[in-house]
Amino acid sequence: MSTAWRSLNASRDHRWAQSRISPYLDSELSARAERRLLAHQELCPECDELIRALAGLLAVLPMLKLPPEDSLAIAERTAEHVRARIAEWA
Amino acid sequence: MRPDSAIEESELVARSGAGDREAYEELVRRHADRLYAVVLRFVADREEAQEVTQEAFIRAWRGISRFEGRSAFFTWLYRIGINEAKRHGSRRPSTEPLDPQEDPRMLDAPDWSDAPQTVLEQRDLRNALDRAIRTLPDGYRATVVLRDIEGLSTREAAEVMELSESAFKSRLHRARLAVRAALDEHFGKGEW
Repeated sequence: MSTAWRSLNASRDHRWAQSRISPYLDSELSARAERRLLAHQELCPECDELIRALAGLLAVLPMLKLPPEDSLAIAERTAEHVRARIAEWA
Repeated sequence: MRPDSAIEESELVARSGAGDREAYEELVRRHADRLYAVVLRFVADREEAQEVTQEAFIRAWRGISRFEGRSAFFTWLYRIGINEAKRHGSRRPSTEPLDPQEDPRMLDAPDWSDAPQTVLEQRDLRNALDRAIRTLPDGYRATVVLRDIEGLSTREAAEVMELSESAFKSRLHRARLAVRAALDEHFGKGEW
């Protein structure tokens, strides 16, 4: 297949690719779809930039996770309160 | 007799449905922190998140005898928690980020990314992320919270939101685009 033909196909892939970027980053694409997306990424600066930006976003979002050391205190406080409320009805 | 912590969750759910308060307390202990973390993204502050988490567990206790186990217990519980949080949120909405200084341990959280490196930059990024997520409509915010922060699978998160997986994925992608746009606006394109 000529380079020009591959390039034409890839540009036609743009709309298809945009909706596959999140599934790709979540490792939810089939191997065939992933190959198609990566081929498109090589030829499409817009999709390349979006893939890199969303990959960066997924890397930083876990910053908002609750610190693990909070878990026990929250569990104890909640269990104590829920126990007391349920006991009121018993 | 086995300690409660070693008992299968399905057994705890069944016993709770039959009125066993100790079994239910163990379910509360197992899920309280993660439910609180989800709820926190829908309410104004930590105090309200604690209140909503407790209320969600009370609602779940009232309904657990009718829980049929067609979905996992925690997806059912998260649905109750998010609905309860939305009810609170609609009474007292907030788009203000939580202040990390309120809890100094958040400043010492591990560096999850290669950049930015400094504590101040991390705090700024964390605040910008929190603010960006809080400005999303509830139905979009939940996709990012469940999938990208709390780490549920697509199937589990879609189940919590009672959406098909394809509808969930579409909403998640749009929510990510909106968060990315908000960060670009705050820091400059690609500068975060």
